[in-house]
Amino acid sequence: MNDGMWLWLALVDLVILTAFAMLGIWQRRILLGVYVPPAHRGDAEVVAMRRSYVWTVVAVLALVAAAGSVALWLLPEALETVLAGTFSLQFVAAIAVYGRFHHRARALKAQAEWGGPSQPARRVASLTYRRELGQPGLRWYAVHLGVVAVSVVAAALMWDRIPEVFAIHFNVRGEADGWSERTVQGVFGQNLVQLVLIAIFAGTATAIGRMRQQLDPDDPQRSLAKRKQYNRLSAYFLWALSLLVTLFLSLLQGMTLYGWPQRWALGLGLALPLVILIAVGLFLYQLRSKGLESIGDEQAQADRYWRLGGLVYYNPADPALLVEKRVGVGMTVNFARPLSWLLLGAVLAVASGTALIAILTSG
Amino acid sequence: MFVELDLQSETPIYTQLADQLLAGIASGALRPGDPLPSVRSLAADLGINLHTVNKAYQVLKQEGFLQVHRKRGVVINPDGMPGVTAAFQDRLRHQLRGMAAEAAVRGMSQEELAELCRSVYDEIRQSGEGGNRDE
Repeated sequence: MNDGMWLWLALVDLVILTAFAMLGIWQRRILLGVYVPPAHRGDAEVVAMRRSYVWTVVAVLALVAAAGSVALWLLPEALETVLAGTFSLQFVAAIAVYGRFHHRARALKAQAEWGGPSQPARRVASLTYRRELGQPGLRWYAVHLGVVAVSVVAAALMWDRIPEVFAIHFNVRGEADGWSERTVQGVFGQNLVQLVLIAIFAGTATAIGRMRQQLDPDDPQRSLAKRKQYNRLSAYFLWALSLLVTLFLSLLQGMTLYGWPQRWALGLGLALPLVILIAVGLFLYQLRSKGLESIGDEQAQADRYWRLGGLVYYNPADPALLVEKRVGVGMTVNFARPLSWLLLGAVLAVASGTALIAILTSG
Repeated sequence: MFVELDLQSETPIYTQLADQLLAGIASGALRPGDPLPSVRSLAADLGINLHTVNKAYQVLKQEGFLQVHRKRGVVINPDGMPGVTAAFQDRLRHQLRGMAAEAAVRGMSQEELAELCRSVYDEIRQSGEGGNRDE
């Protein structure tokens, strides 16, 4: 274990902690998976419960991390087991804390007799919205494909320079523990992973443009402008993030194939999560500062449509396939529509298929 | 162009939608060949039932205002609008009858009624000229 490794672990833990803490405070209209009517969003009990949730999550996760550190100090040879155990325990503990507070929020709702979101009698939609999305189109992802193409062509041209057997996986100590032979799958497997990731990012960016408009009937122009701003911001963010990941994978491929210095890999492994963390932070800050963290979809917020503590949306009366998440950032599917299961299955199949290929090709 | 529905109105929702699409064509905000959103996405955008949007589209398609392409989806009929048919004249006469009768009973003159018709007609035709497309 070197200092870089400790820094990396601390970073990962900070991400987990921030992500779970954010669940409690991100959307003002949702208190831990329960809809809060506008008049009650500033209530002392609501603010207190959010604060209490955040501190409980921080305390519980810090406690588990401390226990993990002690275990590591006592059993340095069981590094992998201790790390896996610590992270799993943190997840389970954080989910338990969330569940506990979700029940408290529901109790508060019942006691204070909060109503659901109002269903406006007037509805407004733009007919030209989908032709004027104002977000970068799929063509922008040609840059990513260019990076992949350069990597593939370079590997094909320099085939003879690639060692017969090369390391493709490194453990947390920075030692190589997975090797591949110089075969087509072994050399180009990384590029397949890149293509799948690019497809997932581009698909997500496209899906954002397919989400319903949910315009404010009292000010359709302004809410339409906000919706477009949200689309644009998300699409540029996804584009930049996926380009970063694509470049990172190409660099990693270069290191394993052409024997570029390995300390680069460690440096990059440290830099990538940090850069992603900063990028996500900036993106969320932008959303928040422009008031875009919860646009539209007020009607879909009635608690009866949300299961599993606000994670799963199920509303047969809603023709929309994609809706804004109520817990966390981004979107989720309407599980009452069969297409959503197909979509979820396809994403899972592609992800696990890619992982399987990665495992099979690493000898 | 925006469509606006009032779910509490006495006018059926599909009629409101069809009327607004017609007004959009009349004003020039929607031009022949312009695509319309799919049934599902417009229903989701407005938070109403799929069948309601479908019914509005079907009514307009039957009359010849819209075309439904397998590839291009729903578009404003690019081959031009149906003319004044005998069936339309019958329907218009029938619908005007009730309003004209009430106007007469309430003491409205023939000129006043004609003037009202003219101003409503002009209003619809001119609403598109101020740039009724979204931005």
